[in-house]
Amino acid sequence: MTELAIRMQGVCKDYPYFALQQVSLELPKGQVMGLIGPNGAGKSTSIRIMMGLVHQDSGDVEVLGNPMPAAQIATKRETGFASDDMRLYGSMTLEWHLDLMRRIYPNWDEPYAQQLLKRFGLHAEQRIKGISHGQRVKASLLLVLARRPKLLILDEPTTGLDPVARHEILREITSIVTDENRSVLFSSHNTLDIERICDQITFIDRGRIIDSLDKDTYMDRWRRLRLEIPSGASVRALPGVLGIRQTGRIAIVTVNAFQPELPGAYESSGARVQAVETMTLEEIFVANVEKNREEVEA
Amino acid sequence: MKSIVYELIRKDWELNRVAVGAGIFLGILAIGITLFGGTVPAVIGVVCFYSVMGVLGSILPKNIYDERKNQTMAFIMSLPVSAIEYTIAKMISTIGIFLVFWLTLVGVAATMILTRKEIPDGLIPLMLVLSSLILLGFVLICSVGMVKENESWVIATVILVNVSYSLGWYLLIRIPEIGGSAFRPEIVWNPILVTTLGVEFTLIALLLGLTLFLQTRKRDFI
Amino acid sequence: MKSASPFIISQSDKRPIYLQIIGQVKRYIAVGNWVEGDPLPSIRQLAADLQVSVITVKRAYLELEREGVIVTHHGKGSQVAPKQDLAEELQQKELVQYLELAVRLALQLGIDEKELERRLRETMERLDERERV
Repeated sequence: MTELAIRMQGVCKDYPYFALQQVSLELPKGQVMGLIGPNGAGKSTSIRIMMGLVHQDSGDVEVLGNPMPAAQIATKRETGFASDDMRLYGSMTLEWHLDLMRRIYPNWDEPYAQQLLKRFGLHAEQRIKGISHGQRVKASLLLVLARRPKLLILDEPTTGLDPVARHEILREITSIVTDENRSVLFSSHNTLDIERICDQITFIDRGRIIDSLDKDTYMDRWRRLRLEIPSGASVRALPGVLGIRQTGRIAIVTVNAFQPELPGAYESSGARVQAVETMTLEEIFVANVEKNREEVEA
Repeated sequence: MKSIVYELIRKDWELNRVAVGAGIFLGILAIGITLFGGTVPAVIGVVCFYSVMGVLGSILPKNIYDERKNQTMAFIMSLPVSAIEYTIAKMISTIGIFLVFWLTLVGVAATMILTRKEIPDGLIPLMLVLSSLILLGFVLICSVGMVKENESWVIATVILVNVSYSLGWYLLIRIPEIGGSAFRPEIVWNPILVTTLGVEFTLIALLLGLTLFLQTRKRDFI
Repeated sequence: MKSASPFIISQSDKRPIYLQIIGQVKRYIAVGNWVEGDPLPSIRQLAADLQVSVITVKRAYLELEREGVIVTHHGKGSQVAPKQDLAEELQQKELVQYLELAVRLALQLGIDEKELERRLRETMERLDERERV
């Protein structure tokens, strides 16, 4: 039984114009999970529930084995959290924040903090209100990384950052899981980053989990088939097909439960399979969301 | 390793270092004028002191709702701290700063009353009752700020409280047992006076308790 | 342990990352950078160095082991498989692949066997000259 860093089961949370419904996900220890979804899908709410900043209306939440929100202090001692709508104290310096961390966290790694300061190009004597957005994000991350947390939860850590800064942060994220007892969960719009560094992918839209599994299995299920069909015919949706777009004799079939026999099945039904393509996470994202919207409107 | 409550209180005091510093400076100035000047400068000094308190009473509660407004709430609540610990730390740091000034004011006023012949000692009980009302008002503002975390609510409460002071003082002085013996040369205590003080402090305790209770039932910190 | 980042993952390479890793490991062995018994970087360390997911490196290593290119000992990590002629064998496999590709392309372009032979000879002469110069 793999130990789980995060376990959410049937979590619900009601707001006037939005609701999380039956959200369930599991992050095994030593892995990186990417949480993706459109704006307003419920990523931030789910993350806040994991951190005990928001209490769920119903459902189980366990972070690092601690039931939330009951045992939130234990969780927060070993979890680092940073979100893009979180702010530090503008009138104080980064050094003041660092000092606060040093006093609160016994695991504080000062040499690592100094290393990060240099690497991120930050100056400890600077006041927070005087630094740019990108530097502020890096500062928040530094304050969290140098605690060597067992679990890192990040809400849009790379949004609004230049490529170099983004690269630096991804580097720190991937270096955390060289220790198989440490785990990371982060939400992002950057499907490229998620596709590259995540072991697990969770898709959320309109308060519901659409998919949550390991990246390889997930991406292996999706294909785009380009078919050439006899004129006058139309393409049937075989099992595993999510959607079909047909213009005249060319059809593009989006498959979300791919079986190796599928192209053959289409060939036997008279179509000529021109190509079987894998899809990028971004393409999968869009296909998923569009399908979800269709179903809701139906 | 000190407790998280201590660190949060220290954090708030460091954040307010300018206000606290200025307040202390002005306070010492006022004390100096009060104790070592003549009667008229002394009264002016006390009035100045009250003004400082009034300003503090409006500025200090900012500490409470600012955490949500400035979005530092997530940063603080992601530290290993519970809702209760956060509340206690916040209340101690905010009311604590105010209390320092309040105690100084009461102490200076009492000293002035007792040491100067021209000011009747009978004023002491009245001064205590009126000053406690100020403290009660401040605690109310802080409680509302803590529970609602909303700037508008706090401003409304500040206005309400400030307006009520004059009314409250007027009503209290009109009660014969409270205002009546004010101009006697000796200090006179009576049951009504004592009860009034008791009620004021009980209300303060109730407000603090209610605030703690409501905070523990809070389910959304962002 | 070898130096920090033995490989580079190309973002513009359309192939899945695990295939890129497999390709680069094989290349390292083929040119003799790594020889029989040499340890491969640990899965987690390589993942961090390349900034890719652990699951991707795991998949690459599993595939390499399946193909007999590396050997994994539980708890001790992975090493280059003990096969003397591994480097040459890999290169031979590569040659076969390229020859097949050349033939397929020739067929698609409508080039016959004679023409293909002529072109092959031409290419060999050209490259041979370059090497002498």
